[in-house]
Amino acid sequence: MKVPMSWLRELVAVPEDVDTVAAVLQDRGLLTEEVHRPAALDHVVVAQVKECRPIEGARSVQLVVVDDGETTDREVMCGAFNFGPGDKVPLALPGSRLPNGMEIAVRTVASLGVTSHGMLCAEDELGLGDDHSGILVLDAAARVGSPVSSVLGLDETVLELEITPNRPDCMSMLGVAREAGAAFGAEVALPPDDVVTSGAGAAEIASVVVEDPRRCPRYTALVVEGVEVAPSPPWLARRLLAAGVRPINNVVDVTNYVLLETGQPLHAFDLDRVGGARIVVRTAADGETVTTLDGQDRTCAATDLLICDADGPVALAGVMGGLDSEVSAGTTRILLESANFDSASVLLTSKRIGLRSEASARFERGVDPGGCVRAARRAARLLAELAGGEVRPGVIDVAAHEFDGRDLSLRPARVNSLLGTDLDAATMASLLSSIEITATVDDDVLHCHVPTFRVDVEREIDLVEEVARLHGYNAIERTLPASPDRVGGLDPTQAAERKLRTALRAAGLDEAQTTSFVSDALYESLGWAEQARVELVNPLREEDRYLRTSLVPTLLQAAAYNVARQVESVRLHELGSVAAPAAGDALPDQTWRVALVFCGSDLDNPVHTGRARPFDVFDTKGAVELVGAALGIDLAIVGLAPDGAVPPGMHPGRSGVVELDGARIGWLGELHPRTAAALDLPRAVAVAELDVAPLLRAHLDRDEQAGALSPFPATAYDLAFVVDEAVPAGAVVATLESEGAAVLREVRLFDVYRGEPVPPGRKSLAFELRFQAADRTLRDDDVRPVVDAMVAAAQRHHGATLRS
Amino acid sequence: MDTETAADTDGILAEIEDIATLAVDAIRDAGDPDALEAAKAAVYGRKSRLTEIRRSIGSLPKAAKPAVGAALNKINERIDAAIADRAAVFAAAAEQRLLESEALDLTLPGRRRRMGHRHVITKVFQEIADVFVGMGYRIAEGPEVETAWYSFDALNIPPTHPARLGMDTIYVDHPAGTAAAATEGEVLLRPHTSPVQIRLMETEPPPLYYIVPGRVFRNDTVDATHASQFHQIEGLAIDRDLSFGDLAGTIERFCHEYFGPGFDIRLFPDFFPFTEPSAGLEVRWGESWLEIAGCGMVDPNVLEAVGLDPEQWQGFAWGFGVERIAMLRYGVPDIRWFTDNDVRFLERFT
Repeated sequence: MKVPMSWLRELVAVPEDVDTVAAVLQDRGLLTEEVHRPAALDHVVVAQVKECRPIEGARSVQLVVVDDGETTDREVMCGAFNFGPGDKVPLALPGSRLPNGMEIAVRTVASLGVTSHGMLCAEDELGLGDDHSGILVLDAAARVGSPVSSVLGLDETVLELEITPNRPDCMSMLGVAREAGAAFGAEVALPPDDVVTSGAGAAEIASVVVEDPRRCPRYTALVVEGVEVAPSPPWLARRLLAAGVRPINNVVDVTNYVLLETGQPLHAFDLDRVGGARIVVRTAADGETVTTLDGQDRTCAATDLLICDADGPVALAGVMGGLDSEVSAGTTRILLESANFDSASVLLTSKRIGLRSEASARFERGVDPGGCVRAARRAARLLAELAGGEVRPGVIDVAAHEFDGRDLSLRPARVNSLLGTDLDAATMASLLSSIEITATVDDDVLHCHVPTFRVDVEREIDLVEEVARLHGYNAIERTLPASPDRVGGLDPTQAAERKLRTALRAAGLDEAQTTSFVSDALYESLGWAEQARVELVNPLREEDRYLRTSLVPTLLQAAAYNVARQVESVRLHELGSVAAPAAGDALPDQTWRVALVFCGSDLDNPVHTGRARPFDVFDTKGAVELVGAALGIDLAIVGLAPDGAVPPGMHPGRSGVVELDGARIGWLGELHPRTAAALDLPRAVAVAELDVAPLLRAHLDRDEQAGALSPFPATAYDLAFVVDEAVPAGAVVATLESEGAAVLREVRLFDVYRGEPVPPGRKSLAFELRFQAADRTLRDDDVRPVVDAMVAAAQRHHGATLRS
Repeated sequence: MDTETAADTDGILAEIEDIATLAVDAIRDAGDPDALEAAKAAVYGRKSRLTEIRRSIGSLPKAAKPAVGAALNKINERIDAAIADRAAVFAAAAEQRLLESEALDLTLPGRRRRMGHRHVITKVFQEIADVFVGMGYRIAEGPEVETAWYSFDALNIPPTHPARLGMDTIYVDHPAGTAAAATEGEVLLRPHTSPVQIRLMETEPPPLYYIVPGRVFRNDTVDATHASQFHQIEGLAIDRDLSFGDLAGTIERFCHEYFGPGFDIRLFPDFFPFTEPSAGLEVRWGESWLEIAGCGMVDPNVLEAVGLDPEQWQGFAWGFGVERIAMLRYGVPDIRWFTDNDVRFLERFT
């Protein structure tokens, strides 16, 4: 809501300093979006184009001859071509300085043999907006030589307010004036609305029928005849411009002016084009069409409300007038509509057809049903004054019921309890009276009467808010809740999740936060196109069509983003929610996952372990094992998973599943080289993804106890086995562990060797076995039989031969 | 003891003393461990004069034996001490040489184990949570894909409410399977974390003191300050007699704890469908006031929607935009940086 300060001052006395006004209004809930100060447009004047001439040797500029009121044949060069002779345009004279800092001087371009005596301006150059597509063409009525700032209404201070949805009354000058008046203790001067009437009564000239009183609680109309359509006087045009509305003609301008002044949307019909001089307000038939002012054919739905004449629809109620009944240059007779429409109905219509107007913006939030007649009379008075209209006596007023405000009770004790204040009833009554809510004290309750313009005040709690607002939010003493017996904290799962996050960082992985949305293209490059996904109904972009089913794809995208920026070592993890369709349930399946990616090379220790070590699946495996260790749980990584256990797109020989207590909770692997290439990633990319819930549950299910520490020495044995290539080392470890009896403490695989003297197709696995007993020092004959059993089992199960 | 015997004994004692003096000199003069061994052998060796004297003690007159024995023990101690001293010198030198040979260039990089970094959004979530945990709050989370009931209706935002239609909600294509699902309305991506308030109040009896962090979604065109997905952290407190003063005091305490003592707050009337009175919150940031939160007293309609009697229970709620706070506190210039995951950006935060 743009509030020109001169207009506000006409309605109520407020301090000179606009910042003071802004600050006080903010305390009352009218937030300042911007203060527009008078534009510094000295020496920028209205000029009329007389001639446009091409310049020889230049195609992108032309020479324009203008009349600036003093010089009738000023020549300026111009790079825009969106105007022609007769148009009025802003001319920056030499010596002027534009809001963007540009200084204008006489400029000669020797190569073209042209001298430019000033510059024609585009919208952005005047500091009006962003438009630089062409020269701003001014209203034809603008007087040549006059300052552009006054023609455009830029010569005054305008307070632009952000009006919250609950205060439609403040989408008007009067509403803002009421708040300002209450704040500064000043009376609001209501603009005069008395009219001199003559001739036949309005009701004899036109008629109104409301068929849907729920959607149209009130419809009032006035008739003004003998109108002469012409440009508005400069004061009106400038005031509209300052408020952000483009002047059109005196009739339309008056309706817009009164809309801005009172908040009541008005519509002027050309009465001669209203069939049967009869207005019918009714619900649309599904598929019915109406052509709106902007020339568009609008197809209606059964939820739309139409204004019709004897022949059919003439306007979309509360949203936009119709083309056929529009006021035009030859209009002389006017039916002035000042109606009240149901806010939900207007909102649905404007939303459905994607059309939002000054009128609909107000109706959708609620317009004062008690203000229709006043606004209509005010407009009629201005039409008589500015367009020579004769106002016909009487107001056509079709109302569903009386509109005389609302009675509400307010308990002062409730107010003080909710606000933490100690105000007495009389103080509350006095606060409320400042905004025209009358309140009488009766025992423990205030009987309040709310005027019709406060459509938002419907419940006791609304009055509580009014008292708080008027008392001042910042005047309420700030306290802390008095509840000594409560304890805050992270619950065990949340605490465990923080441990998980710490472990992931300790594994060297930066935390990423990627988008929840994925595209077909991304899933196709992974070979995941077949995967069922939750689809969005109204995604903004094609890339955002689905919800992610895994964190891996977007994490790979993040890796690619970094690779494209020459980052050679990308290590990322993410904790986040993924979704999968779950037909039959209220919501899709949503689970919390953790994923990680190693991409590129380990560059951390160039001196100690080599300049760059490409990442591989063992980096992800190590990170997963570190997570397990940090949470004190045993994660088993099972290689060469059966089909389907690992998603497509992975290296078949370098991927596997992660198990916890025999249940599959995730997978890991290196990308298939083709997948890596499709995602613009280097060859060395390894990923993993785990379900978070089972990790944390297993962590919390542990019984963390100190246990015993053996005081007796441990003994170590080294053994080396030769086995076939196909035998997984993990299987040999498992066998050794199962045969180790109570005295085996640890099996450590410390070397895998291929080559002489180990025959081809076989490999040597070297283990260190550590034994220790809790109750005694182990002797050789305690350990020897156990080692023999372990060796025998390895031979039996894996064809392992002991290497001597 | 006769005179002759006494004279012999004196001679032996003198000789022993001479041997010791010579030996100690030789030991002290030894230039290296080998020379030391030689000096040691010269005095203690099988054929040394000292060994000879030791062997001859048995044949000495009985009266001379104690004096000679005592003298021998005494010079042994002297010689051993000299050997030990000399050996220690050599050992110290050897150790010195070894250490010198082991010296490393400490300007070489350490053996690094890379530590990953916390995303700044997580960092801000945890920092804010830690302050409120200290103020007696717990943490609740809820689903990102939600129903219209939890996102709107229960929060006093009926289907035709401007706030509902103007929120640019992203809807989800999800077949409503069950009757229960159908009553909860359309499925959507939650446009705010407030549905969790409803889920909390439905499942846990008051008093409730909770904060709710989470990701939210709006169908907004992405630019430097707008994202289609971002994060909120909101608070909900429900108790017997919580007041607007408690709300303002709570947020003021938070701002002083989190941003610092000078970061005062001020409130102005604002509008949210689920709170009344509603307030916008500005924090003093140097010379200016910046809007960082919305808050208010929980609307009676919301309490009624979850079956709480507004005459018995009252409370407040507030919500912060996490990206906004991260941008202010950590100088992030563009909201897209949060989801670009540029490693150079991620590494800035711990």
